[in-house]
Amino acid sequence: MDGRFSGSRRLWLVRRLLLGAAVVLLVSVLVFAATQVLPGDPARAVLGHDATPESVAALRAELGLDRPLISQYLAWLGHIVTGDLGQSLVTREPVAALIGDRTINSAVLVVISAAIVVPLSVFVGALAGRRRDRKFDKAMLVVTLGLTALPEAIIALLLVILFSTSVLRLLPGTVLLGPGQNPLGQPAQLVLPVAALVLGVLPYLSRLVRGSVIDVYESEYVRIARLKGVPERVVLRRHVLSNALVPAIQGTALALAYLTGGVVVVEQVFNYPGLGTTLVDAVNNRDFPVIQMVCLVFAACYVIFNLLGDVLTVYVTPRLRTAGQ
Amino acid sequence: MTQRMNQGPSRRGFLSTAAALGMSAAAMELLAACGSGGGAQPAATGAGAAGKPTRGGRLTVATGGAKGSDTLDPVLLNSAPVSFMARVLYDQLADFSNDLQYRLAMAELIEPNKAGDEWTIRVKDGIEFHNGKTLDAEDVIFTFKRTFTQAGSVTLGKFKPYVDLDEIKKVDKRTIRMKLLRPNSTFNYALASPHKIVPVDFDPRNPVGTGPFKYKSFTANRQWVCERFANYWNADGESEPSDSAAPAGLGAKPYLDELVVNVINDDSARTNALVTGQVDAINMVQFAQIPLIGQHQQLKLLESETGAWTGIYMNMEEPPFDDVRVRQALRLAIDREQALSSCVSGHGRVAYDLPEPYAPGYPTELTRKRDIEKAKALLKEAGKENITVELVAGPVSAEAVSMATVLANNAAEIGITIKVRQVDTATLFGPQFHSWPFSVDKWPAQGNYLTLLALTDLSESTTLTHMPKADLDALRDLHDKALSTVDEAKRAELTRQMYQIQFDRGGWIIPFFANVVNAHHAKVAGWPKQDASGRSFGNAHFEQLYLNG
Repeated sequence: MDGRFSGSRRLWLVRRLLLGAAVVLLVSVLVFAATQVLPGDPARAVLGHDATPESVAALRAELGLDRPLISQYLAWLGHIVTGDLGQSLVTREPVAALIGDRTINSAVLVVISAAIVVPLSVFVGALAGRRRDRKFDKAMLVVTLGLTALPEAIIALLLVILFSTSVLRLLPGTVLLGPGQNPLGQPAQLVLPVAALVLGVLPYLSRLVRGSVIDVYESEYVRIARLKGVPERVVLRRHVLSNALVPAIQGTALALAYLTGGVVVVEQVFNYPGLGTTLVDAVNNRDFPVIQMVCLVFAACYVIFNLLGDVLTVYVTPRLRTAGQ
Repeated sequence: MTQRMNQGPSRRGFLSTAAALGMSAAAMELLAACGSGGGAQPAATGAGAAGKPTRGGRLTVATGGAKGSDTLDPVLLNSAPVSFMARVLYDQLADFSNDLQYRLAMAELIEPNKAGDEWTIRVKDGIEFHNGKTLDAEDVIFTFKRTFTQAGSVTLGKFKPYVDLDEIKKVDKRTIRMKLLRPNSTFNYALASPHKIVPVDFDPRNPVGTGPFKYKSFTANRQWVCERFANYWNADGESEPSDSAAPAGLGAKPYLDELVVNVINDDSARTNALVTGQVDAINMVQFAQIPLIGQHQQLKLLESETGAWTGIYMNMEEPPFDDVRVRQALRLAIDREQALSSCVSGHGRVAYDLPEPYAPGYPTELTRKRDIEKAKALLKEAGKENITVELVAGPVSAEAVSMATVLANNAAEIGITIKVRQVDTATLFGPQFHSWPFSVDKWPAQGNYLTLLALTDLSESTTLTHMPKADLDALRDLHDKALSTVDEAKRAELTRQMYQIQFDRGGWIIPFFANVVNAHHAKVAGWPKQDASGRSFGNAHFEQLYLNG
C-alpha cells in the first residue's frame, strides 16, 4: 500500500484485524462448547467398547477430561496462543504434526480451485452480462441454476459416474496419496475433486459478476462513453470490468471461504487426505483437540479471506481509499 | 478375540441423499448404458487376467473400517483392518483355519493335564522373527506379561480369569508350563483366537513379528506398507483351499514382494477405486454394489459365509425385557427371511438367535418359525400389550441399523411400538453402552461358544443382556463343568444345554449371519474360498496370493 493508504485507513485496518481476532476467539468458545455436548467421550472411543469403568476413569484423568470445563478451555487456549496445538487424544501425536500435511493438501485443493473458478466466473459472468437475455445468457442461467440446486456431494458423485466408473473411464475416482506424498505429483487424481469444487462455486460467482456487469452497463457513465463513440470493447475493458471488479473481489473472498468449507464434503467423496477427512474422523473418535484445531483453522480462513477481500476492495475503490482524509 | 469389527460411520448421510435423488446403482447402470458402453480398463490394471502366474510384484488393496486410533500393537485390536493386518505381521501358537477349525500354528504342542488346569506349550524349532531372533519360551512368557501390563489390551479379557503370571514356568528353551487359576479345558481355543506372539522387548513403533510380511511403514487411517519376509516359518505349509491355488513352481510363500493396504473408509469411494483400477482388491463391499461389480468382466467377487454376527440385545434388568414372554414374543415376531433380504440383499443365511454356528455343540435343530398369533398371546399373558420401547441403533456393522428398522416394522404387527433411535458408534459405545435397555452389537466369530459366553453374557463387567440370577447361575454352572472336562463329546453336550437356555430365555435377537464380501481384479489369484471368521480378504491370507502378470 502506498502513501495514499494511511491515517484513518490504517486505524481501520487495525480495527478490522482486532475484530477478526475477536471473531476467531468467539468461534473457539463455541467450538469448545460444541465438542463438550457431543454425546460419548474420547476415553471410550479410544479404549473401544470392551473398556472397563476403571480403565475409562484412568484414561479420562490422564487426558485431563476430569478437570472443570473453564480450566480445560483456558489451558487449551493458552497453549494455542503459545503455539502448542496440543496432542491428539486418540493417537497421542502432536496435533500440529497430524494436521500439518493435511492442511497443505486441503490448501492445494482450495488454491487450485480458486485459481480456476475466479477467472472462469469473471469470464462467464461478463460474457453473460454483456449478452444479456441472449442465448448464451439464458443457457448460462439455466446451467448455473441447475448446479446451484445440486449439493457438492451430488456433483462429485455425478462426476465420478460420468468420468471415472460408468460412462467414460478417463480419470481416477478416488485419491490415493501416501503419507507425505505431494498431491501435485498426481495431477490426474486432482482433476475430479477440483472440478467438483469449481462447479460448486461457479454458479454463485458468475451470477454475481453478471449482475454487476449489467449494473455497470446500465450506468450513466457507460451510456456517455458510448455516446462519445468509444468502441464497445474499450467500454467493456476500461469502464465495465474495472467497475465490476469490486463485487468480483468480494465474491472471490466469499468463494474462497466457501471452498474452505466445501472441501469437507468433497474430500470425503474422493477419500482426499485433507482437513475435511481429518475433521470427520476426529468427530467419529471424539478427538477434541483435533476437532477444535481444524474448526479454528476453518474459522480463521473465513475471517482472513473476508478481511483480504475488504482491504482489496478499499484499495481498488478510489472513493473509499481517500475517504476520511 | 475381543477385537471388534466396527465400521465407523461413513458419509452414509450423503449417500442416502444421493439415493433419494435417484443416484443409485440402478441409475449408474442406466448412465453406463447410455454412454460408450464402457471402455477398456484404465492403465493401472492394464495387465489383465490372461497372464501367467508370476512370483513377486506388489499387491495394492483398499480397506474400510479404519480409524485414527489404529496402531500396529497386537494387543490393541480395535478396528477391522488392524485385526486382519495383525495376521499379516504376527503369528500365533494356535490358529483357526478359514472354516474355523482349530489347529496348531507356531506351537508343536499345546496340552492340558487331566484336570484342564495346567497346560504345556512347546513352540516349533527354528521359527525366526523379522529381526532374525529365534522364537523361544521367553518370547511366549513375555507376550503373556505384555498382554497383562499394556494399557487398553483387548486380549486381556479372555486370559485374566485363568492366567496366573507367576505360575508360568519355563521348562526348557522351547517349552513353558502354566498353572491356571482355575480349570479351562478350552484354553487352547483362547490361544487360537487373536494372541500374537511378539519377541522380548517388543516395541510397537518398530513392530517385529513372525508373520509372512514385515513392517515397512504405517500411518493410521491412511496406509500400511509391508514387504515379503524371506524367512517366513510356514513358507511351505498348506494353504487354505482356493479355486485358483498357486501352481507348484511358484516357490516358497509369500509369493508377493510387497503388500500395500490403503484406507478408503467410504464405501462408494472404495468401490470406485477398484473399478477404475487404482487398487487390485477391496473388502467390505456394500451388498447393493454387488451387481455393479458383476458388470465388470475383469472384477471378481470373493464371498464367504461367516460366523460373525450382528445382534439386537434386550437388557433383562429393564422392563419390559425382564419378562421372558416379551423377549420370546419379539423373537417370534421378527421376519428373519425379510431381514436377510432387506438388510444384506440375501447374502447370508438365516439364524435363530444363537451365535457361533461353527462352535462344537451348535444345535442346528433349534429353529423358530415366525408366529404372530403366538407372540400376541404371549404379550397378552404378560399384560404388555401396546407398549412402546426405544431401540438405540448405531452402525456397528453395515446391517445393524436396517436390522433395527426391520424389527421395528415386524414388532408393530404384535402391538409393540419400537422407536429406533439412530446414533453414531461413539455415542453407542459411550458411557451408557453397558446399560442401554435395547440396542445393537456386533461380534466376530470366536469358533467356540464357551469363549464367547465368557466375554458376553457371563462377563460381569461387559455384559449387555444382564441375565437374571437364576439363568446366570445355571449357565455358569454348565460353563464351569464344560471347562473342567477334557472330554470333547461331553463338553459339546454341555454346550448344547447352554444353547438351549439361550434359545428359551436369552436376550439376543440374531436374525441372520451375513456373508463377508470382497472384490478383486482377476489378475490377483490364490484367494481362499472360505473366510468364516469374516475378517475379510480371505482371513488376510495374503501369503498365498499371487499375480497373473
